Amino acid sequence: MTNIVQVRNLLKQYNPPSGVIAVKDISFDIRRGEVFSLLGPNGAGKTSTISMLSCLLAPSSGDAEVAGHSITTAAPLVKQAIGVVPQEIALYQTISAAENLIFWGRMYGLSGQRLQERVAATLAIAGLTDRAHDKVESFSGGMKRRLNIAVGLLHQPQILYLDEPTVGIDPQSRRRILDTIKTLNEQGMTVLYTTHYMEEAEELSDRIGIIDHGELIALGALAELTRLVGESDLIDLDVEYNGADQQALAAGLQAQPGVQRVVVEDGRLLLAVDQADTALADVVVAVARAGAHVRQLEIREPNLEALFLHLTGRALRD
Amino acid sequence: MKKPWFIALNDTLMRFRDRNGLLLMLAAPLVLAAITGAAFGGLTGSGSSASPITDIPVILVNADEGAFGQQVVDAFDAAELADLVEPVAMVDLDAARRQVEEGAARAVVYIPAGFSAAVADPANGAVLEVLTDPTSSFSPLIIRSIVEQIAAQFNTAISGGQIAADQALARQDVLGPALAQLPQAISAAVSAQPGGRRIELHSRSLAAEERGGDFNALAFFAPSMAILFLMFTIFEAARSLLDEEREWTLPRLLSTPTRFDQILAGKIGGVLITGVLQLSILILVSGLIFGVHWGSSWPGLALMVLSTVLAAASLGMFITAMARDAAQAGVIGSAVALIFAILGGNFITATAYPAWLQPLSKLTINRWALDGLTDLSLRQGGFGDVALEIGVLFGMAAIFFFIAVWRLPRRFAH
Repeated sequence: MTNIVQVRNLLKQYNPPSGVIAVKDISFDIRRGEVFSLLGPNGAGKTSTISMLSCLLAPSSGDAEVAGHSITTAAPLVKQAIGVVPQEIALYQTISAAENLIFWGRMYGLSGQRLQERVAATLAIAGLTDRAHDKVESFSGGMKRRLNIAVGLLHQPQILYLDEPTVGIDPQSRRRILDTIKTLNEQGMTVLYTTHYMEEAEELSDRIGIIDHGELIALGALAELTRLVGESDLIDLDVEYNGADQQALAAGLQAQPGVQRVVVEDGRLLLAVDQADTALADVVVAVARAGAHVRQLEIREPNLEALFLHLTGRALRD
Repeated sequence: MKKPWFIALNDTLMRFRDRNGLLLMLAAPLVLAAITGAAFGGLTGSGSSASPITDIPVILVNADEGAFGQQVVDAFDAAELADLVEPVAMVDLDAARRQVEEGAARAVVYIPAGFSAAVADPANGAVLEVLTDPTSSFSPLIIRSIVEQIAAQFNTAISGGQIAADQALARQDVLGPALAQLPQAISAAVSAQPGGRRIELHSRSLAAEERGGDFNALAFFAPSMAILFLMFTIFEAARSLLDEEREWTLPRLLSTPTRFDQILAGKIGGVLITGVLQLSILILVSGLIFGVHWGSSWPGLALMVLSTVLAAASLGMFITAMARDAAQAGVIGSAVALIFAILGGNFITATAYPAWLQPLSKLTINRWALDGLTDLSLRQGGFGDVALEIGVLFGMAAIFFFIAVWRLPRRFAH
């Protein structure tokens, strides 16, 4: 399988020389036809990376080739090859969906019959054919998101960048967007997808790059990544503290046999353990001895959340 | 060239579909012009001003060789009027009129030949003429009021004499035969006094005279309000580049194979189309509804519209280029629009401003635009009358445009 994106030592520092380094010397490839996800918490450097790959942000050093064109020296050719779906709803609210698509199609160089065909096709993909002539401002959040994606598909790009496209929408719209992305990928579209939702990355991706503080800390298929955390299970405890010291309880649990790591997140305790079934009883007893009690618990198989915890010592939602 | 055109078209389409925007662009200036035009057009000697009115230049042309004409001239030199008016004597009425037309004086008070004889002759009516500058709101009213008072003083004399005669006639029985002829004697004496007949005041606006009709205050307020609201619209349109940055459509545009200079050309084009359409519609509607005549030169009017819109658009782009964000551009734009409107004479004609304010006034787009458009609407001027204004406005446009075009790519560079 050939690579459509090749990123080499890409680095972005804002306001050099003392400014924040948002992306730290990362390198990775995206294969033609795959869904590649960049997974990481907010502020990890996902949007800066996708902005550089969209030629919206100049890298401080390094380079990337998209569809064989350098982002630093051949921006117009890169832009013709990519479809960008930004995190925000980047549409004109006071004109209709069809008028938006016609305008954006023209910006991609479409015209005449081909423009009309592509507008009709992308309206159908977004499920908005019957609302084509309604103003965007009258749409729900989910409909706007779908139209936002449709704009990125107008010129049939070689690769589609989706920057957190499901943020702030209802579960039904989210489901529809994920299904749309799967369908597009099945039809051959390469997708670069950024998210901080582990479940989305797990469901959609052929390969995942985990990014944190601007560094690519892990890269591979889901199965490869989860193997990195060994046989660890994840115990997610919802605890009633009853005045007990949260940090002291976390430290006590860390000392329990079979517990690899404990993280406190929004009052919950996340424990990476060797085997949940053997460690669980000791954990619950330790919580009770501290004067607290467990309201609810969940045991999860090794997953990306456990991996992120394993690699960074922090929960993915931090 | 296609992409800038599509961007300009899209911007214009959105702006003219926005009902609130249309209210500001078209309805508000027409309504305000109608209200202010009606208010000022109906004034007959009252008025108010935000600033003290002093040293109103007035030209006295005394063609009379008698004593009464000189008394009118002397009245303008009275100590109590010293701060209010600055009278200058001239002998050539046509030259004096030109001074008013050129804005060097606010009015001409013309005392015709034979004025004294007419005053003394009860069979004839005496006339004083006041020729006023139609572009001035208050000064002509003040001058006319002064002349009315002078005429009233003459009339008071005759009225007082007439009353005394009437009272003597009524008390003839008491006065006795010796004084029986007194009322007739007083009446005869009064006839020989100044103002033996009531002096008539003929007041005319020079533009009304030239056009052969009444002065239409809307001919001043229609262009005035059009320029004021054009500035608001244009500044908002120019600011849309920053709005698009905030609303993420600009980054999205930049992610398409569209260069920044194409986007900039499209945005500027949208601003220009919007401005030209707005001003043209206002001119057309003010002509149809209010009967404002827009001069004798279509090329002159077209170039005035174009140069005014270009200058305002360039200033709007300049503000956009210098502002930190859309909010700051909005505040600066509103402040500039209002300050320029006041300095430029959109509310009170700038020709009434004191001398020290005149240079500041002439630094504004509003002043040149208003001077040019009122040259057309009030004085029915031709292309030659507005050539200077057109040139200055194009010059202003060039300065702001080049700074904005130099600055904007740097402003949006990442």
